[in-house]
Amino acid sequence: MAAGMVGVLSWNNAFAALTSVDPIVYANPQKTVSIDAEAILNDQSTVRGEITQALQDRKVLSELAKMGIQKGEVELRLAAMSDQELQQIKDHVQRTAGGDVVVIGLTTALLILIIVILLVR
Amino acid sequence: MKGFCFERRAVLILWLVFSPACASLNYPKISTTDEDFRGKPDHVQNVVPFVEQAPNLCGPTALLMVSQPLRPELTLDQIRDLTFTPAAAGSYPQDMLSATRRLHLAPYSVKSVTEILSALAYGSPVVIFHRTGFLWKDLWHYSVLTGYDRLKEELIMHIGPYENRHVDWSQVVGSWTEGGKWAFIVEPPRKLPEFARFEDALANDFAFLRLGYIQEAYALSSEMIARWPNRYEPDVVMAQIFSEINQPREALRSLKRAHQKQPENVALKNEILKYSRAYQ
Repeated sequence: MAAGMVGVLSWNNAFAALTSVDPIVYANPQKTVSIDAEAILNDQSTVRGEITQALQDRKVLSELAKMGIQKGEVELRLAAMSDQELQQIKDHVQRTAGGDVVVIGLTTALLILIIVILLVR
Repeated sequence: MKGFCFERRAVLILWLVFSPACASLNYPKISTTDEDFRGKPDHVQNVVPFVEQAPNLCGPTALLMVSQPLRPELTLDQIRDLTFTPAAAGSYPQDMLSATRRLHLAPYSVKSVTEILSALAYGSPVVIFHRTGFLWKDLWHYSVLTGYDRLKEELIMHIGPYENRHVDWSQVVGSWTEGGKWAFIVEPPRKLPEFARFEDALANDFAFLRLGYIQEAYALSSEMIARWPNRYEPDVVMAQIFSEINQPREALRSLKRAHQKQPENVALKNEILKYSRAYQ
């Protein structure tokens, strides 16, 4: 399919057209070579490999179980993350969870302590 | 004298109780310029479905609200399974982005006030991570921005139990900045927002490939090639897509197109040689 057609057709039609192209006859149909776009474009990235490797560690799996998430779910979550997002996890950047988690800061804790002292005096 | 002491102590206690709440909401006033509003109306309020938040579930609820117009069949339970971490009693920002892609949708980051206004004027609600406080409580929270009012200097948002609540934008933007300016919009793969960053689009494309969402990757790559005709990366992604659907001739064409745009790329040249040899 010509590249120019992609912009003209709606993407559903384009995909249907794409998959209906006549199969090509190969000199050696047994031979298969796949293309890995990420490997070609991201040759510097190691964080994904490191995290994937860490998932084989029993201690890591045990910690994940304590957090209430199964290994399979973790793998899917990681697969859908960018390298930058994985790096944030590795570096513990932006790891505050949003929810109804009540965070009592140190200042607030000190203030509560002072109030208690004032009340019981 | 004893009465005075009690009175003074009561005032002190009241001040101590309320001061943290005031402090947590006391962000400096933000200033906007005419440039921020160029080509945008003074008042925007998008129609965004409202879902009242259940305890701890502000993340999945926010994602549900922005995804439902694109995928009406989605339920809160489905999204909770993709985003929620029980031990954290909440959802991590990275899991929110990951979940969006797993829902076959594409998230795009929003990193400035101008971009927030642009997204809202463009018709896209914005999921925003911000801090909200009351008395001794201090919460990090996901809300959905649905609009803004320039004259009143307010953002309009679905937050917790409140639908289209008007909030002073300095407070929202202040806490959003404190939290690392983390916000995003959601689009279908076939639609690239005007202000989309190339890096965001490519990250979505890679995620679709990893998840095996070939149609989504194809749709997004096509849009990227049209938007950024001089970038070679979408052609490489397209080459993988053609390769995976057993169209080696098209895959090779895509690789060669990428190489034309990036002739000094040795990895690309090697890939073309390897692929050509395999399918001669």
